[in-house]
Amino acid sequence: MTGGTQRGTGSPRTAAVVLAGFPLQLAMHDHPRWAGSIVALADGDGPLAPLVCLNERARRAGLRVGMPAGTARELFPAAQLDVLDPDALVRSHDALTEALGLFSPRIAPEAERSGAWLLDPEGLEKIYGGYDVWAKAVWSYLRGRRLEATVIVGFHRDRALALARAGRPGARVLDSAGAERALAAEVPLRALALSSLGAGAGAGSGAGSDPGARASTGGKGGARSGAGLCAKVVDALAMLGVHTLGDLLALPPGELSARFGPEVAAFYLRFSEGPQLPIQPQAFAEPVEACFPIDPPDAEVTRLLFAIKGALHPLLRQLHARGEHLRVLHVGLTLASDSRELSTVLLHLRDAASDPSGDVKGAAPRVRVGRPFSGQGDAGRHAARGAEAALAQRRSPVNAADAADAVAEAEVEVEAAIVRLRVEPAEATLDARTLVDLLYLQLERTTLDGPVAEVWLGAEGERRRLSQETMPLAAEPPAARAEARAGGRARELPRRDLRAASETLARVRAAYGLRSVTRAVLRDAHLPEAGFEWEPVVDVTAAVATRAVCAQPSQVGAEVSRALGPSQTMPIMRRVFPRPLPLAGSAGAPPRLPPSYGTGGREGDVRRLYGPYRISGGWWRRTVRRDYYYAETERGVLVWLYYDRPRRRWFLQGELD
Amino acid sequence: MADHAHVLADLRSLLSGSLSAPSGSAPAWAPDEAPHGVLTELSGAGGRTTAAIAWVCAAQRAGDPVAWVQLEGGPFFPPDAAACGVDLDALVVVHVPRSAEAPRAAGGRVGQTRRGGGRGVRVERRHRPASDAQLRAAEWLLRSGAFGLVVVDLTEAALPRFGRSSAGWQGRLRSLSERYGAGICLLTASTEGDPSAGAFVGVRLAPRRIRRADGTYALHYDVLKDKIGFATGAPLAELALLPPAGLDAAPVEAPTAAGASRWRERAS
Repeated sequence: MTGGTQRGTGSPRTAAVVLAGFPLQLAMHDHPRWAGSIVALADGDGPLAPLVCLNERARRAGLRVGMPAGTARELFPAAQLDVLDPDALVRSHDALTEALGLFSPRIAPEAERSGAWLLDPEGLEKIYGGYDVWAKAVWSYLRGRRLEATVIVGFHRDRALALARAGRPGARVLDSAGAERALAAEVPLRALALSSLGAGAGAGSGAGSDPGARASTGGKGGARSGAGLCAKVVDALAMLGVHTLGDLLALPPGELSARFGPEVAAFYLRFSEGPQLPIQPQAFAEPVEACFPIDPPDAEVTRLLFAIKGALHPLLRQLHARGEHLRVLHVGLTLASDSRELSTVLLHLRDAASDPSGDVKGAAPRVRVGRPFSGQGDAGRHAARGAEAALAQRRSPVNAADAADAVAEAEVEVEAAIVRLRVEPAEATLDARTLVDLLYLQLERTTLDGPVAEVWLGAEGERRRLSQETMPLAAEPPAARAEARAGGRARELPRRDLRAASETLARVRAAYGLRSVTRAVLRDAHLPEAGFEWEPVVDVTAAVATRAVCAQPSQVGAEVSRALGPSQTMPIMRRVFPRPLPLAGSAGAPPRLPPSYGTGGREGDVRRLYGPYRISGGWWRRTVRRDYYYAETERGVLVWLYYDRPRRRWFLQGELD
Repeated sequence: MADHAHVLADLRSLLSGSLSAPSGSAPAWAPDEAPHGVLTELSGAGGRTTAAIAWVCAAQRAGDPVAWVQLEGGPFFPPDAAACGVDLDALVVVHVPRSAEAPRAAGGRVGQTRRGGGRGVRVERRHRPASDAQLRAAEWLLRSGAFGLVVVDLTEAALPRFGRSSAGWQGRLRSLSERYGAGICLLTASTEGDPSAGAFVGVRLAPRRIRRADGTYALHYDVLKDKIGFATGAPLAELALLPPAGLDAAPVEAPTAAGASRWRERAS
């Protein structure tokens, strides 16, 4: 492979971008301190969850993909084990897809969560000054975000992808289709095995596997539509002396299909000399957004809302023309403190980004024109300096990579400095009044460090849905209510409107934050604080109330419940503190409760203690051993506490109320 | 097993009314659902959460949406609520930030003041008690008319007492409750000797957990205030409480000099 500039080869170009060990790279990106440690990702939380991604150090230490996380923890207590989050993986993949769209308008993710993309660089070499500069710009852009990528500009989509998977991080341009064919023939099949996809086959980052790729494979097949062979097929071929792609392509296709199945034959055909499918680029929706200045800058909420309302109507009309309703309204507020300084920088950057003369070559992605490019306080000023430096470097074609890094850093700082609001109505709407009302609530709880100089609005729409019918929850009284009526204690039952409830919850979210309206979801865990999670909720659902029996009743409780019936019994509720309260006392002495449990301002004394009940959990991540007790104070208050053995200390978990 | 039979016999006799309540002269009484159209307060620390959850169950059985409002990281413990029969999917739990700011009373612009009076001035926010924000959220929920019961856990917040603002939110909550036939229940940390949350509180109850000699528990309600005759003529009943696993075992007494060794044995 060479890195020269190629012109006039005639054949259309295709580029492949691969982030080897994509989930692992994201984990390392989130935890920079893990560098140099044994790092592994497990497919779930628990001691039996299999490891799915390993770094090179973990591989050298003897860890293997598929090994239980608990075993890995026992072998290497200092190893950094984390749980793979598929949702975060998808979000990151989508964000990178959007970011790579800065380099080519035609981009196709190879598969969901795979960390591999196909880009069409045709024509862009004239802007960047060559395919090698373009490829290096892509690589630099990703490197600026601490991601190690392999960028191959070739001629055949699957061969380029295979070379990117097997290659080391960097940017390379292939001279000719023949050279590409020859290089692809040397790619080991093991690098294309499904268990190695995205991992660079250990050549680059040394990571183990790509669960995204694995998850996206279906059935028992030996290959999938992208590029990859089942590990069993690779082993079987290796026993026949077929180790590389060239070895495989030398086999007769018909015989291959008969012996290994049609999917392996399809894999064979993708690399053969037949016509290849063009890239199916992902469609990018034109953003619906508006940006306008506030002149003179103003901090008065009512006037700001009035200005925003005026700009909202054109946005809503655009959405209406698309047949959509507004689902989310993003608001960016640029404060006046840095606006003068930043506006100059913004002007230069916009000019540079739109300059077709070619004096800005190679280095940087396009600056998002129309977005607020300013910040507040020191962060904004720092971002301005970074952007200016980036601009200066961009005009010098000497150090394109550094310029791209500087631009990326400046972008990150600017993004962090913008005051952003997110307005989410209960359901998609075109009603400006509703949106302004919700925005008003958000502005109430937002502290602005200065007057607003510029406002940016961005709208996310969704296809119009049939309006929800009002659901009269209490139209048909349930049995219990019918009984109450019969008992003469019934009240006049109003109809409950679920839509009104959803609208109210949207107001609460706007006023107190997106995670302020939740529902509880129970988790299967030993520790009390891990036994549930709060999940954001948008709509109110009708209750399906059943009289459940206590999940873990005491022996007496179970008998009482059976004898009296569930309607006359009730488990005692516990109230837990958000963080267990440390108490005075040692293992040989009882704990001393806070003064609120005592009398006369003294610490509370424990009179009786029920327990202990030992709970151990999370040992595959960190050692937890607790002895739980119920304690009764002199005042008759029942509290729930535990003795933490590793820490040798008492903690108050909660109280019974 | 004999002990258990004895416990059951006592409970049966208690339910049939032959066994008087162990404390006070008030008859054993347990409201099976929250009063509607009135501001209700549950005080004390002996069973208010259990009582409130029992009302949540009753409201859900009646098909009403229910909301629980508490401060961020509040003490609500969902596993126990689920064990009581609460449908957690249908229970909206609102977490009000502890640093939440509330606006001025109705008619005010926003909870902020401006220094200098002109454009381009620094905006200052006035911090108000988090309970204001909780009550404001409860008011919104009630105003939608969509909720049959709203429980506001004010045990961790400093409750605004008396004064105009107190009367304002209390009056609004009460009228909304009456208008939409909904229940509004305030959980407060005040004891029986403390005054109620305000003059608009129509029903104030102090649930108490009673531990019997046989080791079982029951919930008894002390009626501290009843402006609407809520408790009058109510059927006699008492809620038997099921202790969580572990609480029915033989306890270890206080660590006197003699008991210290047993403590060490247990803890070792």
